[in-house]
Amino acid sequence: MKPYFFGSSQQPLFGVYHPARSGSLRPGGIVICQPFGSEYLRAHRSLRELAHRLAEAGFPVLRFDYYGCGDSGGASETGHVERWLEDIVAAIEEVREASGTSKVALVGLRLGATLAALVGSQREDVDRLVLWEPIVSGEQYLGELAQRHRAFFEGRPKPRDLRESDPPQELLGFAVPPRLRETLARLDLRRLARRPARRILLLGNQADPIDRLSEHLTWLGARPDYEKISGARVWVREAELNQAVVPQTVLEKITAWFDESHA
Amino acid sequence: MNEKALLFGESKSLVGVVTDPEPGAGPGHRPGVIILNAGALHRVGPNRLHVRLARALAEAGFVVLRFDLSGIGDSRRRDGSESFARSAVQEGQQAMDFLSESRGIERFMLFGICSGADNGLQVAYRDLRVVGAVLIDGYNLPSLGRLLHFYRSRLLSARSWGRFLIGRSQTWSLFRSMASARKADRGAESAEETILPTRLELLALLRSIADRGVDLLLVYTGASPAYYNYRKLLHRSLRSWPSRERVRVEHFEDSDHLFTLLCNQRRLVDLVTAWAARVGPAP
Repeated sequence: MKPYFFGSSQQPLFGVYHPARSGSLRPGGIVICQPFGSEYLRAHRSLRELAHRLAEAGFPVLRFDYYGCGDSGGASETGHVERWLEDIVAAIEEVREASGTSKVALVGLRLGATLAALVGSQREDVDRLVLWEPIVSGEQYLGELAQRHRAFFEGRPKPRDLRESDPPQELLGFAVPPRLRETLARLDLRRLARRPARRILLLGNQADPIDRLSEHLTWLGARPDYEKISGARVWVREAELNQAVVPQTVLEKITAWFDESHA
Repeated sequence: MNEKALLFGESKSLVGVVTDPEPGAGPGHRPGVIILNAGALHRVGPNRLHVRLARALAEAGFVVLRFDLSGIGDSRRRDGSESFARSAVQEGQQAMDFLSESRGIERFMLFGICSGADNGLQVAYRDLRVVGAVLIDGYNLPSLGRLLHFYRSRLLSARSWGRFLIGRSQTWSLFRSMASARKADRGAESAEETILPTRLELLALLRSIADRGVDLLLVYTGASPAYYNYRKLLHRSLRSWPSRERVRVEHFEDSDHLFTLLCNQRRLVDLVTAWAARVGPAP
C-alpha cells in the first residue's frame, strides 16, 4: 500500500495505491470513488477494506480523495461536481500508469457512485462499474442531508447567534457553497444519456429510485446485475465514528463480482 | 505550505501527512505539531478539522504531522499483544522521532480530540520533548450526571425508548461504556497502561505535566461529559497549582463533540493557532 499525492503540484490529490497481490495480477485497474462529507468519513474504513480485498484478489486499486476533500489539496469550500469528475478522470490515468494496465473499472459509493456513472458515460474505456447505493437524484440527496443535519442538532447545543440560511450553506459538518449546491442539484442518473460501462453491478436498498435507475440502465443497453442489499448503511450509522463497522457481505459481493466478471 | 504523504514508524506501517510551512513563514524554530486520531476517525479528523488545523498552523510556521495509529484509518493493524493504550503512546513518540530525524525538530506540541486527547496526555506525560498539548474533551469519565444531562432529550423521547428497548440506541452504548468504564476504573490502580484514570489521578497527571513546564490548552465542548463532571474540580484545583499560568481552559458550550458547525470549527482553529503561536517560540 502506498499513500501519495498525485495530479498538479498546486492542486494535489491524495491517493492510496494498493498493488495487486504479487503473482495474481488480473488485467484492469480499479478506481474507488468516495462519498462526500460526513458519509466519506463514515465509509472510509469500509472502502479501505474493499480496496484491500480487491488487491488481494489480483486487482491494482487506487483510492483517492476529491479536491477539497479528505487529505487532498484545497479548502473544503472549493469542491464542486465538475471538479470531482475531472479528479476521477485523473485517477483513471493514475491507476493506469501505476499498474501498467489499460482496462479500468470504477467502484463508487453514494455520491461517488453517481460521479463514477457520469464519468463512465462520458468515456468509452470504463469496462466495469460498481454502483453501491448511488445517489440517483441530487435534489433528493440535498434534501436528505438537510433533514439529517436538522435531526443531528435536535436536542444538541448550537450557538445562540448562529445565522442559519436557506438554503443552508453547511450540512453535517461540511460547507455546501452555492456552486457545489447547484452542481449537486443538477445530478440525475435517470437522465444519463449513454451506457456508463460494459458491465455494471448495482447494489442498493432504497428500492424505488434504484429500481428506476436499473430500468434506465437497461434501456441504455447496460443490463446491470442488480442486487438488493440491506442493513449496510455504514455511511449514516450513528455509532460508527467510534466503532469501525464494515459491511462484510457487501464487500464479499463486490469482490466476487469482479472475480466472476473476469472469469 | 506543502504536504507529503508518508509511511513511517518502526515497521513503516503508519500512514501520515506532513504539512511543511513555506520557507520564512512564522518566526522559525517552532515546535513540531503532532495531530492524533479522534476516536476511530482517520487522520483528516472530524469534519476534516485536522486538515484545516494543520494548514492553518503551517501558515503560521509550524511543521504539522497528522497520522493514523495502528489499526485506525490507513495504518496497518499492529502485530503482537501490546495494548492499544501502550502502542498509541509509542506511535505518538515515533511520530516525533520522524520529525526529529527528517526536520531536526526537538520540541513538540500535541493535539487530540476525545481519545486523541487521552493519548496526547499520556504521550505528554511520558516524553520530555513535549512542550505543549491541546486536549479536547479528553477522558470522558461517565457518570449518572452525564447520563441525565447529555441524554435528557433522548430519555424523554418515546422513539428513543423504542430504539433503546431493541438495543439500537446510543443510550445503550452509553450504558455499556459506563459498565466498561467502571471496570477500567477499578483496574486503574494496578494496570500501568490503563487509559482511564480517576478524576483525581487525571488532575495529578495534568499538574505534573504543567509543573514540568508544558503548556496545556484544555477545551471542553458542551457535549463533553468530562466538562460537567470535573469542571468545578478542575477550576478549584488549578488555583493551587504553581504552574496554573501554563494551563488554559476554554469552554465551547455551544459546540457538539465533533465541532460539526463550521463557525465552531473556525473558532477552534483560530484559538489553537493563536495559542500555539504564544507557546511556540524557542526558550
